[in-house]
Amino acid sequence: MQRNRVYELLEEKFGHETFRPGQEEAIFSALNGKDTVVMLPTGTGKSVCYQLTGYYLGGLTLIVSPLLSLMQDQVSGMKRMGEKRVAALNSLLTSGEKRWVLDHLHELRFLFLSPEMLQYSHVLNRLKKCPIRLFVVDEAHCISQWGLDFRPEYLLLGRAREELGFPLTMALTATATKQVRGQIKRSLKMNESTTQEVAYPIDRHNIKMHTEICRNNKQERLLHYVQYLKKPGIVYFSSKKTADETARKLQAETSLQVETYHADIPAEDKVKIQEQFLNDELDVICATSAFGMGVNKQNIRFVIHYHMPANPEAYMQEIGRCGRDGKESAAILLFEEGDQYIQMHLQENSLPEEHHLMQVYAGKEHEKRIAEDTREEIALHYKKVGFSFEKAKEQIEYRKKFKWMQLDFMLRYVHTTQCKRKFLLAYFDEAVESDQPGACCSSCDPDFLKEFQDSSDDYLRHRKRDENWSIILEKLFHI
Amino acid sequence: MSSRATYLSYFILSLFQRSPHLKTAQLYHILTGKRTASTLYQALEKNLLNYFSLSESLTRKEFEALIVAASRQGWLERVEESFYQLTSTGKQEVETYFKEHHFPAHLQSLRYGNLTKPLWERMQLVTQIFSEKSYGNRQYTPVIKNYAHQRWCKQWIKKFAPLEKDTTRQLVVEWKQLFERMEPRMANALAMRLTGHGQIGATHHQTAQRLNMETEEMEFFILNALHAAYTLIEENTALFPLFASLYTQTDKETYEGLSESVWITGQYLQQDYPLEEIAQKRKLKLGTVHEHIIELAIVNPHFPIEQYVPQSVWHFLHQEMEKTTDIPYKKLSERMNDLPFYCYRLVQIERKRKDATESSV
Repeated sequence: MQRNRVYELLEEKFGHETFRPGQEEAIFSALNGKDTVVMLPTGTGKSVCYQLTGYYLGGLTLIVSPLLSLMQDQVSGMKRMGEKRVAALNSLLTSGEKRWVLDHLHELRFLFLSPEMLQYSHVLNRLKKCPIRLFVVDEAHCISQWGLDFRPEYLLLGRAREELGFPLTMALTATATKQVRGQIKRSLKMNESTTQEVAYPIDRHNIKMHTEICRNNKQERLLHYVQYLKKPGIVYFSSKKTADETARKLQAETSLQVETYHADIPAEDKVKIQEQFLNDELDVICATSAFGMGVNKQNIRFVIHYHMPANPEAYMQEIGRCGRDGKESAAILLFEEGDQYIQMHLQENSLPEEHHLMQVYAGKEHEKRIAEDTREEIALHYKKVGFSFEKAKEQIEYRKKFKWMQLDFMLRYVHTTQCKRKFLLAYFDEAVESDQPGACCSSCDPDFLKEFQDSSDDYLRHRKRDENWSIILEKLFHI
Repeated sequence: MSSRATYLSYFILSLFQRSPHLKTAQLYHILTGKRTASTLYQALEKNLLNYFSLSESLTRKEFEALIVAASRQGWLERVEESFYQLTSTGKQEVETYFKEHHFPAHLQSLRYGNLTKPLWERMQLVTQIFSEKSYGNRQYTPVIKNYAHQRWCKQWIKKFAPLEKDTTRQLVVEWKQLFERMEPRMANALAMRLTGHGQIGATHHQTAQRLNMETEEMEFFILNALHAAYTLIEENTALFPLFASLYTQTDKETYEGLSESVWITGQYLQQDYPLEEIAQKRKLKLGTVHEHIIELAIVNPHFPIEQYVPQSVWHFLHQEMEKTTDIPYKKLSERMNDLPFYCYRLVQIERKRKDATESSV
């Protein structure tokens, strides 16, 4: 392995002179022929780990990704940087387009695909004919039922890897406990003794944490914070309706530019909102968890959770969107008694009940069954990976208990008067580094938020939008 | 209706003014786009074709609540079982409302239903591509994420607009010509939604803010503006070669205002296949093919109705309908044996077309 070539590629392909923490280790581990599980905090450039490795090794780099929109963003991102030999294979493509991709695999360097694509024998057969130099599993925590965002289709990746002859593998995640990392390795059939783990602390020193117990005044407190704090920022909700209503209220009662973002926003508006946010045209986004993945904005100064998330993994991922420029940022969680029931209600409808399992397991093997909802989908996947009815039932019970445990942890985090950071990191088996400077949370320093007071709005480009078509056209085209 | 009644509510009430003595179930089916020959004909008869399928997501419950609320206010009254009409107070209320709010006079939901969204997305994407090209920028996020549209636009540009500078100039000319021919407010609303170099288009919410409208009214406003633009393009293809090309191709892909199955029947008819053969080839009942012809005749004002009605039947029907305008089919079938219902319907449509043409002269 030529170390110099690695650094040359870093500059050539990514325009950087130095690696960010963890990247070099992950890349060299893979280049030394070791399967690697990479856990790096959100926003620290995980994609460089597999892209650079892919460039060095040549051949085809296969990247399994859980979200269609994320895949699209990643393909667009690579194309924008000048890499044309990249494509995605997923359900958004027509059959003609899928055929084209499979016929041109030898021309590609990077292929993003959704996990279910690897279930199809015709896809696997084509891939077997290619020199797959690197098999990447992005958001690998989706494999684990104990992690954030379990995707049953990820359970099939181990078998796919086996069929492809156990190619060199890199599994990436930002939020995974030791237990989850272990499950990732087992599920992907990685040799536990030879697989390297590159796990950097998930702690982000520059993100300061605060929780506030509200008493019928949550909206007022939110209004206070969005006006008080340096901007821009994101406010997370568990309900689209509340996100919409709160955005309207903030728009009506402040001079801030506020937009809502959730699954029901028209696709065209989603792109515009994202671009406006990236372009510093928006102060605050009121969003559900649908917003953020793939949004690489450096200067987000706060993330406020209006509703408590279901688990610490989601919380870490969402607060991790602020302060990517390394500057101090605030993570605030507003809690009101009763908020926990929102999550409990959401959880009730997320896992299969016994009757879902019975319906699915009663069906014959050869019958093609289309799941009617997510719960049936999960039940179907348990059947597909070979779980017996009893085992599937047991797994679901464990998962239910585990989800309560995660929610309970979040409740305790909200109420704890000990160091918030210490408390949260302990969930991930991490400790606070002893040489950490300054205040880290509201338990350690109740007044720390003073540092975040907004004294100017330099960040926001004050632009009056043109409203006359003639002027708009004049500016749109340079002729 | 209370002051919190929505724009949609007032708009629906205005349809009772447009078409007095309306059955609520009929109106509901028309608004939500129940695509049967019978509903389409009712829409034609009641002069509501332009609003066919306008509110596909409107639930029965919401619709009935609206009718009940308006009745309670004394703005709608029931004249017979399921037939309603506006009261004089209701008429006043609607007129006052639309003095202060925009009335969407250019809507053509039936004709442009499936075309509206994809064509607008393609127009936006093509505009963005050439805007960025004009500044020499190739690194930007496409405003339309839909892969299929992105690929389509790429192919379209290769085939129909390969010369970059010429196309950019032409595009600017066409946008100017289009906006000059529209009401200024509608032109401004569409322009502010465009994305290009240095400009990220306004979202639905931002457009509503700038127009000082509630979101629902803004959505009607934009839809109206788009339909006005499409009509301009359709009727002036020489002025808009680029837009007309986008329009024609997208229109074909979205079945030209028809359902897919009806469009396919239309293709066979253009190739002069006999009706029985079409039914056989498509494994359809002959009656279904007749219904397709009715839909074709309603959607396409130039559909050659006479070709599908035997001459003797055609003459008989026109003669009888001249004497008695709304003579029911049952009476006519007593006078002519085996009178095909679809022929009766086609001649009714033909007569309605003629009336519409004469009244617009």
